[in-house]
Amino acid sequence: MKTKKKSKYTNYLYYLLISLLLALCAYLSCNNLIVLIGVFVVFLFYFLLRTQKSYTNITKRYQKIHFVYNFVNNVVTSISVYKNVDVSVDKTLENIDLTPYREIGDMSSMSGSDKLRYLTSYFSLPIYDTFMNIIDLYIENGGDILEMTEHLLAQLKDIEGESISVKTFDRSKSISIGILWIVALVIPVFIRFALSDFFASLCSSAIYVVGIAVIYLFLLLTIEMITSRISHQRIKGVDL
Amino acid sequence: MSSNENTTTPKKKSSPLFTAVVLNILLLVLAAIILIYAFSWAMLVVVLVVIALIDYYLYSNNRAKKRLEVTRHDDEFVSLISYLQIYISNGVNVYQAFKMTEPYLSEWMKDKVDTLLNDIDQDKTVQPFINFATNFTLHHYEDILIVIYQMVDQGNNNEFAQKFMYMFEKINEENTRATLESNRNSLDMMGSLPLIGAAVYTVCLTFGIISMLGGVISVL
Repeated sequence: MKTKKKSKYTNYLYYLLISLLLALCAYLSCNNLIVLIGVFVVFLFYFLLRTQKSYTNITKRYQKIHFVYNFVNNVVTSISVYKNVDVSVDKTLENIDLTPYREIGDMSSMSGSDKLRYLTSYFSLPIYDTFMNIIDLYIENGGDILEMTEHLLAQLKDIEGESISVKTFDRSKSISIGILWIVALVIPVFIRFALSDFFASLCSSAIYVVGIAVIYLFLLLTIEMITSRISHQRIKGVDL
Repeated sequence: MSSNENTTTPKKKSSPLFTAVVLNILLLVLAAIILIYAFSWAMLVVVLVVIALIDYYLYSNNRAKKRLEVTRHDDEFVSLISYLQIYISNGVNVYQAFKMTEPYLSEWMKDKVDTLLNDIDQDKTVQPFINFATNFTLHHYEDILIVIYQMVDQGNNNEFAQKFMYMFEKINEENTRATLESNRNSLDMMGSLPLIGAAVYTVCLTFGIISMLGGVISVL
């Protein structure tokens, strides 16, 4: 519980810090208090209401994919050894730390196959539903679990590989776009110090002040576009 | 065999026209406030350009969404075939395998699969499969559907199963590559936005300096 709360409050601190820095940058660019307050308030609310939600959803999504990949692989391996679904599931769960997966709840009173069925609602992934169908087949008819799940495991491996690739690329692209924006926003601040007295006259021009406000609006739009693209990226086997 | 209920819920879509109308009203109100506070012809031009850019973004976003829907149908076909592959490899017949994949499908695809299964009941030729293939843009999807028809017509024998697996692997690889490339391209385009921001600043700086110089010259 402490780890999750700490992470959430750390994020809030980052949002506050970034909003303050952006507001300061905007003020240094145009010496206008309304722009300072507007940028701070708008960005802070945006980060708290939209970014935090998107960040949580994206993190949970990747967490689920990694969990299902490891969990299904371990369960299948255990079943191939113990030849019993209940024992295999219990053995697998003994070796997994479920603390990060708080939404799962308490499964201690359930049998192994009931636990598998219960996790269907947590994962909400078509690939896990397919795995459950194969387990049902195995329970009804028996057979070689490794052979039965060969294609499923191959597909899971593809999904895991794709999700890692997408996550890594998204992160590196977001950082590079962030750096470019930092450079773009710092230019007006340098111009302020370069122009000095002339800058004070420039700030009296309404079109210049509105232009600075428009740039920050554009920045907000960019953040929204990137967040939206990353949130809605489709991973095969995970999304419809 | 138990069937697991589909726990993936469809996303609610807001009307793009409604979004555009609301956004335009908000922009016009904001523009009116700015113009009342500091009217100038240059300001009017800037405000109109910003509104035009936002409207263009909404319009191109809407068109992009329609193109994306077509791509998603093709991607969903590959997902459908991947689930079919898993069930068929476990000895489930093709008809039953289609039925078992239905909980994982979108409403659009479920409707097409239902039509296919109804057509199969009435027409035992390859035609229902060819009709199903016309819902997708990529022509080689028809080839794998013909192999599936052969499996339905002549049984899940080894030869057709192997042909099916081979074709599925090819389609899957190509689809994964195309999806990753599309994801990368969409984010690569975002890299130009900071440059546009810097360009907007340069234009505003130029306008500001010119308006100041104009003031100085008129005093002289």
